[in-house]
Amino acid sequence: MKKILVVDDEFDLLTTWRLVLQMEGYEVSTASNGLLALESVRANPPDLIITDWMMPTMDGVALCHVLAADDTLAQIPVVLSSAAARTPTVTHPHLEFHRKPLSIDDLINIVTRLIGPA
Amino acid sequence: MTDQATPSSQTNSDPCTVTTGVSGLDDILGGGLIKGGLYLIEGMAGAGKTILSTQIGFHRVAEGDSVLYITLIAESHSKLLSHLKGLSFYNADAISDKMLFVSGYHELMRDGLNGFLALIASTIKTSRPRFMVIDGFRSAREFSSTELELSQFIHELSAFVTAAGCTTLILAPLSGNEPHPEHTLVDGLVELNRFATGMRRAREIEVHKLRGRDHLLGRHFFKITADGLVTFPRLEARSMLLEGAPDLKSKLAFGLPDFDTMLGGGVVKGSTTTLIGPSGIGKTLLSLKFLEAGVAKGERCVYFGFYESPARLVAKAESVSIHLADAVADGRLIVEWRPAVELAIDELAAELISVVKRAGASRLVVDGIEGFHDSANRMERFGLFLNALTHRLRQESVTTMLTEELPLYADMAHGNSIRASAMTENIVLMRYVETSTSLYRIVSIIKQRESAHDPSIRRFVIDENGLHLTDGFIGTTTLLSARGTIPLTLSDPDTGTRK
Repeated sequence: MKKILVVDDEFDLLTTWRLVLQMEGYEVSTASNGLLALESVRANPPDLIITDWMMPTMDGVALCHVLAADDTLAQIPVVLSSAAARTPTVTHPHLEFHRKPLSIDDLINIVTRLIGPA
Repeated sequence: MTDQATPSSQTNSDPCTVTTGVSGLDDILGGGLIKGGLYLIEGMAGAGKTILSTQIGFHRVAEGDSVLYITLIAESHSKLLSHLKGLSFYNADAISDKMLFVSGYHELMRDGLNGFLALIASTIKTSRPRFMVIDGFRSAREFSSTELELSQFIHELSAFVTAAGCTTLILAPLSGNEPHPEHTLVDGLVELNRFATGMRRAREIEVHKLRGRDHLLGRHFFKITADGLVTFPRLEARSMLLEGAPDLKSKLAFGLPDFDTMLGGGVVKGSTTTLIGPSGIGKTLLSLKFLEAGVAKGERCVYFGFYESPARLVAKAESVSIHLADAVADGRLIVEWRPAVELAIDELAAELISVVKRAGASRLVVDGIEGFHDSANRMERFGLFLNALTHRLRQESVTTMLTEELPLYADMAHGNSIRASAMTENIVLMRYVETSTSLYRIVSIIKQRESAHDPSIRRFVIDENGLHLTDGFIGTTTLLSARGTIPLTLSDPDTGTRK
């Protein structure tokens, strides 16, 4: 079963994406900021990371930079999403930026395209 | 069919707008609901929550959406459907295919709010509804041990339905003045309630909150019919369009030469005139004369009254040589009769505007503005209502006569009039004066805002040959105080000679 880590400081979105992705058959873990996400990634590397940009403690852009600096973790594809109008400047080899709000269909299409079915 | 009876936003092509299909409601909502929004509908038992939500549901089915109706502790599905069968919007073919009814009670009892949310999520995944109703939300309220737990559930539900693009209504009992956490979390809060005045009860709808929409504030009357809910947005709550400059040169005559001369040729096209006077003075006949002049020129005219049936009205006019029967028969004149029943003022206004639009009327008589006054649930709004109504009629480019009753005996300085006259451009005052042996009718033009007029006081005579004005009427005193008398020494010997 493929594993996905969802990172967002809004608990309602965490719940929504968790339910949606679990119903698709993925194993889903969640984190509420970049720092907690990093701990989770190091302990149990996922197949895909879906992260918000603006979060407390460590934001999504900073998380991407740390992941990119690690040769192993840099191979995990990342979906960075935000309601912000501008696209952040991030150097990461496997990164996609998507503007919020994402619909359930959008999310499933992105995930399936990046890592295939569960 | 009223002005509101055609769902106003059905043609709205904004993909983010979810129309309700409920007559008048989309206007109140500023266009409709927002796709993926979460809305709370509150109301006491019998307020119409279930009818409203299913009516919107069947409308959404007709618009091509799938609909999910989830019940907690509410009516059983079979009972609910059997109650809906009598309503015109019910579509048996849609049930189970496009409109799915499921119960979430077991999941709520077994797994709490998280289990209920999981059920919603899995059902949405399976049936992909674009519109959902959660009926019996009281159970969820009662099931949550803390407000925080309920808030979290609402938050998560809101995020989920937004992501699913599934516009959702939650039905709950009235919470009164008690704040509930869900009030702040939902995208809209709508209350269905009743207003009591004496023995009458009127249904009212109020949108307390609606994110992202410029909705109509305040309470609006609605009724439940065989077609479901019909709402009547308050006229005075709507934004008024700016009026164009009136065409002061276009005048509409009464076909009563002396009176038309007093008016400088007639009343300005598109204006509103109040014929004000006591019972029996001839207000209705003078207004019918105005309509007769219109139909004689081939215009479309509307009479909207409360007291006399069409047949009686036409016969009454005929008795004084005002000929309307042919115009009624061939449709140039539409006579709308609203007998005095428990009508609501906004419903009357909607019907009035609807018939004016439908007829493309150039002339309108509203005979007895008191009919509107008596139907007003709240008297304090009547002035604003009248102002909005006359404005709305001007937008329809119809030239209007309102009749307003003055008390027969009382001193009008005491303010017994309902003052429709204050809202209109022109006022024609009709009164009785008394001599030692008789009563006389008199008429004068008190106000004509947009043109000069003859301020003289004329005697007004009604007989089988028609309506007539005499040259002049000298000797009346204190006329405006409604105590018009003629001193014996100045008594006018004129007995009403026709010109």
